[in-house]
Amino acid sequence: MPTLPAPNLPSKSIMVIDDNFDMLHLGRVVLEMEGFRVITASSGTQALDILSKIQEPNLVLLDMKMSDMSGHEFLKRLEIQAPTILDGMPVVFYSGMESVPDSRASGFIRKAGDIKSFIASVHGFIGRASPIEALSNLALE
Amino acid sequence: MSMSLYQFLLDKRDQIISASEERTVALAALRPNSTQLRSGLPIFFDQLVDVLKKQLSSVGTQDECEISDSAGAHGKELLRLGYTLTHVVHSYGAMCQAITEVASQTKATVTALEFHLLNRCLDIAIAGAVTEFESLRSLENKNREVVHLGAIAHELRNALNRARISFQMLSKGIVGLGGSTSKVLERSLDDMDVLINRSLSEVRLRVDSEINEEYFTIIEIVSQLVVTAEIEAGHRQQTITVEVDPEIGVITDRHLIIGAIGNLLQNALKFTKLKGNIWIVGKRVGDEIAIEVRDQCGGIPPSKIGGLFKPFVQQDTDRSGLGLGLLISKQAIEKCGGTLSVHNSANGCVFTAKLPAREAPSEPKPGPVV
Repeated sequence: MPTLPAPNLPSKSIMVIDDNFDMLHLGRVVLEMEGFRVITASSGTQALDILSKIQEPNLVLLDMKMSDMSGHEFLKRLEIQAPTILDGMPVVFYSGMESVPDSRASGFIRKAGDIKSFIASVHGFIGRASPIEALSNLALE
Repeated sequence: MSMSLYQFLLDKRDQIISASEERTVALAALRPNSTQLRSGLPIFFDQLVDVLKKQLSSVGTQDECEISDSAGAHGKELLRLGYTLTHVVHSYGAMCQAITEVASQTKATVTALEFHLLNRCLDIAIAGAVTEFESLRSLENKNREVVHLGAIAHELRNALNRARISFQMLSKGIVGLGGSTSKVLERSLDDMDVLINRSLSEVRLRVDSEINEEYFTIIEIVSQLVVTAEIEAGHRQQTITVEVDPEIGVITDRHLIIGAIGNLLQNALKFTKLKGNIWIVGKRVGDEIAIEVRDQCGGIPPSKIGGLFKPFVQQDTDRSGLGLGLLISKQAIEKCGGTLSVHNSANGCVFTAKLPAREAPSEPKPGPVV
């Protein structure tokens, strides 16, 4: 069952950056169903532009390979654009790869095609559920 | 003039090395150079001098190993700098020619034994350089194949991921049937179909010697391809314009041509800017059918056009080009007896596939009424 945002609390926001429009659509539907506000960007360039104009989202889900730049390149450019932004805004790679190399990203969620584990991972990173709770959700899959 | 080859090489070292370098530079054309590459032939030269100094009737085992090892390093460096196997062989040939040329100019005599040792050293060096060059090239190709396989698997997984998420949303009633999520599921399955077909085209191109000939019109295959392509074009707000003479057709392998033109179309969609235009033009030009895929990619630097059909060349950072698409298109068109070329237009590229034109087979005439 979809969960609703806690009453009287402003919903948290997640930015999804992916150059696949279908992935953006699915990400939006699934995350909005969970009560998050969702911002989407279909390229690294567009995401950098949006991030320079809006209040920082609570979490960024970042594709590793995009048509205009890689996820790593995006992080580098973001740090040049806003040197301290990564201190308060977790950026998590969301990728079909088995693993991702070390970087300034806060973590990695694998595109495994399972909504429940995806949501549990997102909650884990955004802090609505503790990491232990998120892991236990994953273990139940 | 009576002088041993050993003494002659010692005296004329700089002249011979300089003449060898001149020849190899001419062979290299615009290819890069390096300190290591420049030291390759002088090292061989000094080894050759060492062998001759010993005045033995054959090259000793230790000398053979040393020549082979350093030639191997030379071959490796040539591969790293993008040289071909021909260059590897010719670089040693250049030194041999320089030695004989300087010997001729100075009227130096070379005995049969010295000539034998010179040739033997050259053989060892060429064999060492070629073996290392080929061994590394083979390893590089294997690595590229693995990377390519990984890229296909990655793309398939991404499409499968989207399909699974869509299916879960639909099956659990989170979203209704017939809406945008159903379309995502459909497109994900289509993407998987494209990837599988492309992989099968590669397999067919590598192992099938025969092509399955049949008559079909160009508009048939273009219409089929555009149905799928327009979905992706819609996302990118791109427009696909089809200008194909409905009368023109070919007799060749339908699947190979669909794969080839499909790759060109995917390439055009990928590299054309958002809101840009793509044209597919089919027309008769003399005895040939020309199928053009025009994009608005901004054009390709002339220096890169030559490498466009080489394996694993990607002209941009877009991941979905698995590095073989254009090569597969070229091979498929050529297997069907045609050609594929590319040239720059005002603000993009034009890929032109040419195939022999064929008339539609005539309908069988009705038999006599009895």
